[in-house]
Amino acid sequence: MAEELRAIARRWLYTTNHKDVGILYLITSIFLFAAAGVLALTMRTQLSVPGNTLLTADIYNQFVTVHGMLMIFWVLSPLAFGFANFIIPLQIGARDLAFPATQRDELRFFLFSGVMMILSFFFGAAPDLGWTLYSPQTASLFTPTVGFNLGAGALILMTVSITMSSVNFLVTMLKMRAPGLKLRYMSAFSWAILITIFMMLYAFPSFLAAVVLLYVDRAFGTVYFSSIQGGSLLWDNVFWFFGHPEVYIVLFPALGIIADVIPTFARRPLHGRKYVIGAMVVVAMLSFAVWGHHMFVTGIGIVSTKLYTVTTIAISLPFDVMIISLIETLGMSKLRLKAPALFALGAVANFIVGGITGVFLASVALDYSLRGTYFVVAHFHYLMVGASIIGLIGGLYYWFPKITGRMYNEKLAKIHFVISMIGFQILYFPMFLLLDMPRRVVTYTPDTGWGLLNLTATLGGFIFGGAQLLLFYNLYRSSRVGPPSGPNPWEAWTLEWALPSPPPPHDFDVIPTFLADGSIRFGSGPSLPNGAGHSEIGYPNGSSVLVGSSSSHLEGLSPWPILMAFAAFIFFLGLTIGKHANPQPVSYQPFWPLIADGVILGVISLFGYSRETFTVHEDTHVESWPFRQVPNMKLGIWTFLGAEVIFFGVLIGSYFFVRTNDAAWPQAGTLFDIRNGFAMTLVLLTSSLTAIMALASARAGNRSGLIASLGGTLVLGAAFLYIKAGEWFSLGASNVFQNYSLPASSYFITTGTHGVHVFAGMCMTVYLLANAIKGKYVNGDHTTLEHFGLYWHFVDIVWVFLFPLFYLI
Amino acid sequence: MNTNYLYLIIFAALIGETDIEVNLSSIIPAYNEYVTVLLGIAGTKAILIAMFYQHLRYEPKSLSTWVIVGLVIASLLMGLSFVQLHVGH
Repeated sequence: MAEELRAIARRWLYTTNHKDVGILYLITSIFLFAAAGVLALTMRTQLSVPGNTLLTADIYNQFVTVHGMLMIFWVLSPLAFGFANFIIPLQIGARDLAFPATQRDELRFFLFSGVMMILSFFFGAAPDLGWTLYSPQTASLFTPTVGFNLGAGALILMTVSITMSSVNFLVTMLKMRAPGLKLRYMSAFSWAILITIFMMLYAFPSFLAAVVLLYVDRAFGTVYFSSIQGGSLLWDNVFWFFGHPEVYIVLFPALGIIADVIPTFARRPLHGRKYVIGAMVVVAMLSFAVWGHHMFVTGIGIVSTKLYTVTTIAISLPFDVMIISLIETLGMSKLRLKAPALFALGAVANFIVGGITGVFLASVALDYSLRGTYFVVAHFHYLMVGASIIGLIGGLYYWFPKITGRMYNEKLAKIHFVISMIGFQILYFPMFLLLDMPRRVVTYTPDTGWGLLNLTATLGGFIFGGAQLLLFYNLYRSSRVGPPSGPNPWEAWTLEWALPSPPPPHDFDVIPTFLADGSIRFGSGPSLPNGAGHSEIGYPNGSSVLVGSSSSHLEGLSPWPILMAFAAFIFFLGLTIGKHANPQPVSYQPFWPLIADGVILGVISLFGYSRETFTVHEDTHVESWPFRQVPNMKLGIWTFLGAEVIFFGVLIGSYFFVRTNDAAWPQAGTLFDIRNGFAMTLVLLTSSLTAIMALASARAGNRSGLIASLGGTLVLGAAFLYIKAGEWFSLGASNVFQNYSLPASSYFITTGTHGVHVFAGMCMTVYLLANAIKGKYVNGDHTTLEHFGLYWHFVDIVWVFLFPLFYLI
Repeated sequence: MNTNYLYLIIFAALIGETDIEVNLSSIIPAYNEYVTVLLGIAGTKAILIAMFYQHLRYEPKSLSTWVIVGLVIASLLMGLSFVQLHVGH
């Protein structure tokens, strides 16, 4: 018994299996959904009657902010990616994600970031400015609580997790599809996830850069967001460049689920499938060109206003295509009104209301009067809750039999749907009528006339919230005693339904092949019709061709990811929870013992990683257009570097922003010594030469040349940091902050971030050097060196731009 | 050509360009033109490193396109922010 319990604990703590990770994402996000929901119901209670004193203004603001952040970052996306983790490899015929070792890290970082966000309540006060964190209220001067720093640390951890996840999914979906599964044949859900990941890859690094700038402002006294030249307009730009795509990031997975569920229950292929996918692609591209509509009242200029009005109206058009396609799919169909279908239809109905009211806000005139009111709250929640959450709940019911092997209680699920939809409308529709009530107010007076509508909304909130208890009960109860579901209870057409429920740990005994006529073949077995592709409808029943199980959930377990994430958690805790050192501008003092603990644990886990052998077999006979000739790891690194381009692009863009907005910027050479910059440039360029020579030596089998070149790279990296540290200390001693606060801020943040990258590269060099001394890399196994070089040269390229920007202009 | 020689030639070009950067202000006194040329030189250095040290020149076109998409989005952010700051006020 004890051994069994230990095995269960080991499985769930250390797992690397994509299905286990998916289940953990789902469970974690459901718990956080409940926590964020309790915050929402408390706020609704506060607003139910005029002049209520249940919550103080401070607590109310914290509840508003943490509710929004939890729902957006720790519920909607993780719930969707719980499905993605579990379902995507099954839908595309892959045995796992491209980097199984990475997905375990993503989960743990996500988990600890959520813990850190909730902990922020217990350190003075949680973030209390709304999920948009508008500047300059975020400056220490206005928000001096330690809990706010903790929240910023949580966001950094979360975005690191999401970036790793984006790279992993992109490589998996682009490089590991089953033979014959061309991109255009993928299911609507797979397409939605693929497009979502593209948006995540380019949006989240922008957010990471924004939060890093904010964090450094608060923790170290830089002035990016508290200066006139940067301030609120800079934050608006960097935040909404991420923030608006984020709306689609949390919406698209639900739309993908809806587009899989409706055809399955309507017994018809998705009408205009390629147009739906095309529409999603267009939305993804336009999503990066609409952020300015959140800034109509900031004085961004008439040209920008016109531009963003056009792009915002334009982005609504592809959504029309999606909705019309879904409605056409329903036409003349014999719809089976099971719970997943009901929730999908409910989500579409809510989405239409939320979408149309969003178009109102593209009008500058209407936006001027409606922004910041409950009209916007209603519009936003019709999309986030009405479309996204309701759609995702549909996905829970849809894939519950596949995940657990058991059926849920259909009758209870239908009751859940009816009460949820009624509660939802009573909750949010009155808010459209509250278009003169400002959002985020803690209370109001009776003479405003808002009391009845608020009371109605609160009643709806409790109906909606109470209905979710039925969901939790149904899922919990059914997972234990529900009747066996069989492999394909919905007679669905996508590949995951051809596997037993739940699928075996290794997914596929035989990787299936998608044939030209749209059917699926397992090895030499019979071919099965496939409805996800381009052919006629068929009903797969592939369980009979899957026999035996050659692996278990206990393979590939590792304790290091959870230790690494815990180390990061401790490290950030140490950086954020120190007591007040000075009142202003630097409010916080690092708590060094915790930081040291975090570093020590991090080093231990890195050492553990380095001793782990985690081999991932790369199948060659898979569908991998357009990257057929690019190995998975190389594509993963280039994709990661793409995210880094955005990260540094935002840092450099922010520098340009404040610099072009500041007429008093010091001339080149007056603040930063050109000789230092020149010397560092020479050193770093030379280190790039030694890095490439290391690869050349390894290819030539020249061990001594390899060791010398790697050693040279390490020494030159150290020399770069030595010169940089000297410059930092010298500038610090000269009180540069007092005289040139903004140039100094941009210099320290940008070069500091680059320096951290150099240091990370040096750590990798130490690892490579140790292996090279043992005789590795000279026997044709030099790909690790090549991958390291990609990173090191990228760091060099960043400096190639930083040198002229800071030292020469 | 021996790849080691190629790497050395690229290195020499990078150092040469850096030298030009440092002395450029005495060649082009007009500030706007100076900044434009300076950033242009930095761009060519980045391209040389990416093409030859990161071997992008020898990779499939799909990978180069992948990298360029990232650069375009980063440029878009900076470009639109610039429009907001300086146009139409």
